[in-house]
Amino acid sequence: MSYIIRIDDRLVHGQVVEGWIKALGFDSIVVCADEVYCDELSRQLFEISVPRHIKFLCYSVELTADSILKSVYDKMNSLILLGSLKDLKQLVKFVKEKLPTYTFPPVNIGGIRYVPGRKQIYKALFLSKEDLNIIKEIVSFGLKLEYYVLPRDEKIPLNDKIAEIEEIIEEKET
Amino acid sequence: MKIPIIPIFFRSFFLQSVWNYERMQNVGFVFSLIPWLRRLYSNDKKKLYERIKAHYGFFNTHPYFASLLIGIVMRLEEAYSRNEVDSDQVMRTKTMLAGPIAAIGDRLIWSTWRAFCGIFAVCYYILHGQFFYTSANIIAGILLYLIVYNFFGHLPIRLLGIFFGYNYSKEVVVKISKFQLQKVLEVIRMIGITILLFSSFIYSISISDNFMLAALFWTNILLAIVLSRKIAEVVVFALLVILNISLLGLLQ
Amino acid sequence: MLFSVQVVYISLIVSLLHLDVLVFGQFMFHRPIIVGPLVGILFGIPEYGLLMGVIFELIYISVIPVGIKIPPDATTAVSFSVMCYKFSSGCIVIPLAIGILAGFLYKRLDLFTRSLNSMVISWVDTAEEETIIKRINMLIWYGLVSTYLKTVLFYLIVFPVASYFTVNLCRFVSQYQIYQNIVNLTVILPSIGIGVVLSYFIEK
Repeated sequence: MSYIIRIDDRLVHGQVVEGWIKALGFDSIVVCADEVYCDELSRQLFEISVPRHIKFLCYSVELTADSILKSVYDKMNSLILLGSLKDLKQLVKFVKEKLPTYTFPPVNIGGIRYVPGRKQIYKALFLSKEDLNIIKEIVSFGLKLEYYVLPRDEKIPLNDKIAEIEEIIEEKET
Repeated sequence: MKIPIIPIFFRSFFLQSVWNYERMQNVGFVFSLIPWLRRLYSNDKKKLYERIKAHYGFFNTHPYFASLLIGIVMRLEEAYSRNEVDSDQVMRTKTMLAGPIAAIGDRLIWSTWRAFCGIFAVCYYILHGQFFYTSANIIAGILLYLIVYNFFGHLPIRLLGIFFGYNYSKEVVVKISKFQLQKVLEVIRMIGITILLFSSFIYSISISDNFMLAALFWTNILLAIVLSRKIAEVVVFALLVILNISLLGLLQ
Repeated sequence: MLFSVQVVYISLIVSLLHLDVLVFGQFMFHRPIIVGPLVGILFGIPEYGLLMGVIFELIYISVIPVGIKIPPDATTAVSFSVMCYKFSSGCIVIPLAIGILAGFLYKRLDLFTRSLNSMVISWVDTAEEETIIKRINMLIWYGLVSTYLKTVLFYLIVFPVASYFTVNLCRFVSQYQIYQNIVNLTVILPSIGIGVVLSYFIEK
């Protein structure tokens, strides 16, 4: 029993449900986001997309951090969904502040999509300078970041690719 | 405000014209929104182009229910033009609703309504028995399928979606999901299964003079039901065809 | 006639129906139950068009365009099956198999062109203000026209090959005892499709 942290800015959607939840048999999904995403309406909307038999939770970053430290997710098979790198950084910070020795499992970067200002790195990975800085911070906490869209895809470790990514971001800057 | 519903309704059919992996339905979405943005920012070209570019980002949802989201975004853009909300809120609502709407649409339309219409049309033909493909009126079944599917499913959603999205905003999505959908879908499925079984029965009677074929008919159905749980549909089909040919060869 | 005026104008018409799959409307004109009989009528074999239409429709009723699974394209599969049936002298399995293969090939082509679209859309990102709307409109046209042309080309190129294989494979098969079994098979083919649909409906 364990958990996987996944970053996907679309949070819960078809591919996640089919390719992750059903394929890997998770018993719970935690949408970890700030209050804006966890209000009553959003909760109801997410519940539409998630299969009935799966426990669905929507927590703020701080609460998720607490639950991680209490080893709540170690007993379940959970998919923890985050919507942005910023949230991941916050989550890691909260956990490391309370327990600096905590080791996270490798984090899945599943989809960060295009907004003006980002450059394309991989098919579903677009990053800006700010995003890269956040990644550097997260990596400095000792986390391993891997880019792959579906569980069976090749896992591309991002930790070693930071320099390359930096080049791509600078290069297209005219 | 009065909305230019007909131009937007017409443009919504092109939602996926430039579908791409990077941003999916983005081009079609912005294309549908342009008449409204033009009206909102008729005096401010700069704002107009800015909003068009803003909506050119990633977008993916069910093609029919996208109309609902278009209506909702129209309402949000109107509020934005009056400085009642900021751009972030507009974009966030748009992204947040896209997923659940896609889920609802997939279950409602592709899984249930289209499947039901398909069964309806197929059974219309199968009911004619063994030589249905010579005796049935070809055009009748096709017209039945297209008219029922489009006029009672597809087109109302595309048209009314814009209207309801604009007038009732986010709440409408939750209303739809709560609207005892499960029961309705159950009923439609039950009717579908019944029609299918009944037609199969009639068909198998028409081939019953050759007992072996009739037995094979029902064996196929049972095998296909069992196999389809684990294996993809096309593969099941291929496997069973090979099996059938071999069995027919052995038993001849 | 492996390559004739008939094939050309059928390709032109069916390619229009292909637009309904993704780039325009989704009115379900592209479904096997429509395309099968239509191609059959155009090709002079309406009954077999209907037969193929029914069989493929049953298979594809439960196939849903979500997520990862990429099944062969239904429209291509059924139209190739019908068109090749004319050359198969009753040996139904061969056109069916070839149809599914063609559907598979077409799907690959389709996925490739969708990747091309990713590059095309950046044309609007770099647009200056006044040209944005014009460029978006042109992209829409591009989407429609490119899909249409690629489909027509696919039919014109692949169909002669497919029909050639149909004729020869069927000739090969008809030497053997299997042939009579295949003709019997025609009668019970719908049952497989029915089973697939029932499985889907019961499970959900």
